[in-house]
Amino acid sequence: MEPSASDTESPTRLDQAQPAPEREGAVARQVDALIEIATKLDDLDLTDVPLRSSYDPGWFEVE
Amino acid sequence: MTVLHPPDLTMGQAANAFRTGALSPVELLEAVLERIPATESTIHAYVVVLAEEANDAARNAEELFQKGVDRGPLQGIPVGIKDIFDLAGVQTRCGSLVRAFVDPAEVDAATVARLRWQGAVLVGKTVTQEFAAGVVSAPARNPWDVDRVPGGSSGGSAAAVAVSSCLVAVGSDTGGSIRIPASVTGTVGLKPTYGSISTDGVFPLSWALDTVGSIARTVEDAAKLLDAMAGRDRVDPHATASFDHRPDLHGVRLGVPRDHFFERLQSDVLEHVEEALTTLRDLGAEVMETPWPEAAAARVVALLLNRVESSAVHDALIRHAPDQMALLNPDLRMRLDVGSRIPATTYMRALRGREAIKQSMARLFAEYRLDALVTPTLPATAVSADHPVILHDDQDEEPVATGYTRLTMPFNATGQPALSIPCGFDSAGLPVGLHFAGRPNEEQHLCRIAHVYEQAMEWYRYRPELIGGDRTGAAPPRTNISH
Repeated sequence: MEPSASDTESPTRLDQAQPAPEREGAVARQVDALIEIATKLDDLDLTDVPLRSSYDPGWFEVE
Repeated sequence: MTVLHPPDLTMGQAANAFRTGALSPVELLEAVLERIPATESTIHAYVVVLAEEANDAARNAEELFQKGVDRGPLQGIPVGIKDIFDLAGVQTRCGSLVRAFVDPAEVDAATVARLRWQGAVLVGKTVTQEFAAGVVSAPARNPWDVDRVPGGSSGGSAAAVAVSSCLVAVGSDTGGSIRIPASVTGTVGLKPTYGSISTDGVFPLSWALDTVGSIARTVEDAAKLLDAMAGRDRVDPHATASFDHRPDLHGVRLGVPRDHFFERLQSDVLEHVEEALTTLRDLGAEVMETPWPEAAAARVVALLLNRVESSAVHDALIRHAPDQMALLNPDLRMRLDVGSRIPATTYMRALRGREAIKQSMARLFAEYRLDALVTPTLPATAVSADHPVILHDDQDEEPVATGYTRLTMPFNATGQPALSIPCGFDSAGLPVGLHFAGRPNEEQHLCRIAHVYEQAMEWYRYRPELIGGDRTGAAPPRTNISH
């Protein structure tokens, strides 16, 4: 079955599986924590860093 | 002369014994199958033991030897297979109730098919943490102390090797799942370069990180198993196991990135790793401080990719099968829920971050002309199964999933090969792991470095009391075979 727009736009199906409000709160807190952890990547200089679509075996060559 | 029972042989010793006629594959398997009931009652390393199929395979291997057919070092060797790899005719349950009634696999995983063709004797499927997502691997236990965890997620494979209920075992490593159990069970765990071994027929955890590898008692055995899974034969000069056997490390340059990797370690771990660094110097290596400021970010990259992709793997379950979701371990269910809600922009930042991390690692190796990095594998030894947290010297507790992956995950982000070998025992008699990370696609060189240290120290000769060993330091003597 193809996902509907509502499937991709909201986690309502997830809520059906885990309705407890306190659990929802715990999930939300962990999501926030991971997003916060991701800010550590701000220290990386991503200027001119390519996004490769596949693994490049030559990545270890330093120009 | 003191003798070892056949299962206590390393794979290399058993392979030699087959070829001299001192031991047969059927005799070795019989001895292994005799050991399994004694160890399984406490270790629980296996999901299923395939005794009948293994007997057929051992007889076939023996017949091949009798006909003069030699398909390589795995012929006749009892091997354990982590239960996320497909074996034709056997369920792949992935340690989950969700797959309790899954149909048996129709074909072997690519790596399993190669092992089978080479005459390996597939003893059974080993316990994994549910869907390979975790570091505890219940119900498997640690042979050095059965009240402790064997690590994970390839915990069953490592525990089985540690008690020789198989001679080598197959595992997978997405955030440390080979090296972590190897470290806490006193075995060797080899994670090769990402992408170098087929993951076909292996249940995924994170496509960007999943890596198939080997667990064994010695570096050479781990390398041979890796070659067998890769389809590299004995005469291939690029085979991992074809490293030269010079007994020293003259000319080898080893980097020690102290920031991140030497922070918050149990004192016993730090002491043994420092001793190992001294030994590596004594063996002729140049050991130098090599800061890698991107290490913490590397872990973040691997964490984010892992979390989001594991949710993507189980997307159908999350969206359409709440009843199935309810069967998952609560921790895993939470993890999948969380991963499914990470913004796509964050995931993309992690993907781009990975490229920056890899570039930083390439620059580090180039700047210092390194052959490998050396770190502790883990900040701690095996934790309690009942209370799985790392207890630090200041009595502070750290969640085991966080602590055990702190030092392993950065090398999943880079994708470079990494290996854990034993380097001693803590004050409770639990193994400590030493971690090497090498240049991509140079597993052969990485294994040579680790092999020199291993042969100098011979920690692999120490065996758990459970199988008659002595963890206080009396290594089993060099020996011949009795049967």
